[in-house]
Amino acid sequence: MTLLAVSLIIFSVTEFLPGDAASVMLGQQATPTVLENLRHKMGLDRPAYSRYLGWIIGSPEDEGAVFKTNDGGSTWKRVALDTVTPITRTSFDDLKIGWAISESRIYSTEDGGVRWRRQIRTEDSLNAIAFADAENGLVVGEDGIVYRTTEGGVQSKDQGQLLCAGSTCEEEPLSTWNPVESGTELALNDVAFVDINHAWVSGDKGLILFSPDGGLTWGRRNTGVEARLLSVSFIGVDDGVVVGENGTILVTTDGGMTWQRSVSPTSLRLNAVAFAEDGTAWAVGDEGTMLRSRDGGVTWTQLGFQLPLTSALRAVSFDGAFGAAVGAEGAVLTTTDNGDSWGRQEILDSDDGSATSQKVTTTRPLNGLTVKVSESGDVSAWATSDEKVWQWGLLGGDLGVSPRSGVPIFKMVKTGLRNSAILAVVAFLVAVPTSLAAGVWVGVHPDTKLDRLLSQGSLLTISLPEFVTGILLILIFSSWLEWLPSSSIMLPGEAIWSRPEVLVLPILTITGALFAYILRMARSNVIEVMNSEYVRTAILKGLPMHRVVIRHVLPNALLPTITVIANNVGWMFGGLIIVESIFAYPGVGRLLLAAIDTRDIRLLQSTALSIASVYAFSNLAADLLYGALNPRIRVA
Amino acid sequence: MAIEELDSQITTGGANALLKGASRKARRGLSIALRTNSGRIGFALVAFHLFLAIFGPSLTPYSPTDFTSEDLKIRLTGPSMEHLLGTDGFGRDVLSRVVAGARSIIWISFIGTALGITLGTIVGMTSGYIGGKTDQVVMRGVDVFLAFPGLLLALLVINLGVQRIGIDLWPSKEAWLVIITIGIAFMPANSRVIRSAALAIKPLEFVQSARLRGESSFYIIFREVLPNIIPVVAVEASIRVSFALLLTAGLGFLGLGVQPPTPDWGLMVSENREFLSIAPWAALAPAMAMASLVVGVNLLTDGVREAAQLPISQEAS
Repeated sequence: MTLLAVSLIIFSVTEFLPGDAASVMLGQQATPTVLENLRHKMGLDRPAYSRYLGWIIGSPEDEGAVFKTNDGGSTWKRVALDTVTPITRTSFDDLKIGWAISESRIYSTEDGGVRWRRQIRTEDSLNAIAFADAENGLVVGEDGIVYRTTEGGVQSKDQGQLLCAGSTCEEEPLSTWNPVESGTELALNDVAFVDINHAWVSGDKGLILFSPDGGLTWGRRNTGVEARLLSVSFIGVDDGVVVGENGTILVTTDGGMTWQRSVSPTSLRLNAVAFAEDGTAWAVGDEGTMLRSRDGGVTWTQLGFQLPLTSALRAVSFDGAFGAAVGAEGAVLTTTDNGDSWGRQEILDSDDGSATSQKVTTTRPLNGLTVKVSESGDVSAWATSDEKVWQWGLLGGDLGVSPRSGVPIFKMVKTGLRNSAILAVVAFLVAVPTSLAAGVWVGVHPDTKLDRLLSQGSLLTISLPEFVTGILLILIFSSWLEWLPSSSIMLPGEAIWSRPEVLVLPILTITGALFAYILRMARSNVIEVMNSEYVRTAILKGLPMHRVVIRHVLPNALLPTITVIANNVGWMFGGLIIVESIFAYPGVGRLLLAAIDTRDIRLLQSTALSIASVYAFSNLAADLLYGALNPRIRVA
Repeated sequence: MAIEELDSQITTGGANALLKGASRKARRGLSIALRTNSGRIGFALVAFHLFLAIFGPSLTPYSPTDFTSEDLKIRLTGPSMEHLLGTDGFGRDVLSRVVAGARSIIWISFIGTALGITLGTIVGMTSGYIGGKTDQVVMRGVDVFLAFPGLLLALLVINLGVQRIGIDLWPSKEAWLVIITIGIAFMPANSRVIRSAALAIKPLEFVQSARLRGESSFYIIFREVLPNIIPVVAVEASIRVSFALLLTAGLGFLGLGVQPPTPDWGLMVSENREFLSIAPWAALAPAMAMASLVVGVNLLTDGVREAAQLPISQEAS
């Protein structure tokens, strides 16, 4: 309960840290696109409560990816790593120039899809994109949304508007995407754009729209079906096929004026349809369904595969004789002969797109696909995944990834806590028994020389701030005697135990203050108890001194002392921040300072929470210990 | 009406008498404290530092902040007749900086402590006196604050504040933020102590009679309860001052307190840390000044506590 409140406070204090955290983190070189991307990654474009819940419980995270192949599907590489939201569908004019939609944004690329530039950010949810040539394009989305461009999406570059982030500016090209009245409120699922005039759209409830003027005006066509129509494809301006739910297949031979329902060999959902060069039509659907029609879509046969495939196929695309189909669980099928034979490919997925990291065959659901063959016969294909993955928060032991270092925060905090705990535990083990013993001894024998020495020495020690003690120790043991290293800088990945000598000075610093503090407590408590009547009685009774001390003095004197010790666990974590800063020790305190320096809010929140938690738990342990040791407040 | 006025005059008089009694007690406490050795030494040390804090900046032979290109030539020179404690990395006189540095740490810690004690006393008294659900809620809130180690809280607050506050404050934003942090950090523990003291006062007759007279809670808390817990407040304050000094110095060391070039002991130690092996005096001098001040405060506190006959274990609260 308390921890929840603590987490809320830490969150709100850090959340409202001044300045745009993303721009501070990126510094001067940030371009607006990179900035927007980072802001999205850090969740800064979401409301605060959603970020808080995401931190504690979890939130759905975009896990989308675009994979590209340049050799007909043998090897795939991950591209488009810098878009804000995952790209869902693509459309390419040639191997270089292409467009893509991503949730509510439209992007374009000039390098075959490696880097993408945002063209427009709409308020709508976009479902499909198609280009007739390099200038004329259409995008359709939910609620009957249609966007149209006749200039490739943006005006020529130099008319753009400057967007600045920090000292660097980026030209935001002026978008030429304009909304078009479609005459419907139904969701539009796919668009086919055959030449600059003829366009078709398929939508929910059997909706088919046709435009004879490049998407400017739309007319509705009667289909007589109610199923969601998920995909539309045309070969030429007359012959087209539409597929949808419940195995629905509609075919037209008159440019979409009239639609006939074909006899479908399946009742499963069909997700996509495409035409190969030789006029065969291909439809793919759930449970690995793949249908072929050799007569323009009137009659269909189901293909039995030699490759067992049970997961859904989501997209199919042909260019010339080359075709591919992709689906759930990362399935990729390719053909080079108009679909007479298909081969299964695997996409190797590495998170950072580099070849060195561990290669794993992707199991991401692939939902979109575009294939393109150049005039010289080079084949490229782009497969997209817009998977959403539930990203656990604190409750799932996952604190996300530090946007600055790219390392999982949980791991950083864990390493920091472990290193700090090593310091703290060793310091405790050294300081507590010795200081208790010394404190009790001088408490029983007050006003001896040893007592005066220890009392004054301990007063001096607790009066020294940790950084003064630390500096003195460095001066003596490192600068003058040259016995020990003055800093504990570790190489990444190096275990703190591998060089125990770096631990000595930090531990000595903490031990010093702790020793003095406990010694003073123990001494004064013992003296107090020694003056009590029951101890005097015990002594006068003739009990031997050691018996008096062990049986009568210690139980009563140690009780408040132990409380102090337990309270010190949390105090040590505060003091550790300074000690770790002096010795550059890689603990949780230095992590906290580093997080503040770099404005790494997520790291800061998690580190602060972990310190506060340790503190709260040690206080709780102190209370419990006190209760266990003190019969007077023990709960029955 | 007249009777009420009379009544309040009487109680005001009573409260004043109590206050006078308390201040008399405090004066007597100080004189008893001065009878002990630790009290005397502590008092002398603290008095010396207070003197430096007030007059120090006008006594320094060299400017504690400015340096010229001439100065840079003599950077990190050892102690000499011209520079008794040597020079620092910019050729500035270390002694001048140490002397001038007493002011910032002392006023920040003292005002911070005063703020924390005032807040804690108000919260503790009010919560303890009103009791019931209010008390429970307030004490839960206090528990939450107690879950933050002071330094962690300071790091969060100061970082939040430094860039959020647009206006310039005299002498610096950081100084006031440190003060606020100390105030917030000390408030919870202090309010607990004060609350238990207030709970002990609450059932006493004079409080009950004031209640029956129909006095407002505000009046009772500040006129009846407060004067009677002043000794507790005083002891609390004297204990907290040394914590405040350590916290302020620690924040200065981490670079979160007073900003350069203002002379600040914690900051000076951290600035001159890199020259530790070649010019140890530059870091040692402010460290020693810091140590002598805290030792002085601790000795004086010990003396005060002996005078008040409170065991050290009170510190643990």
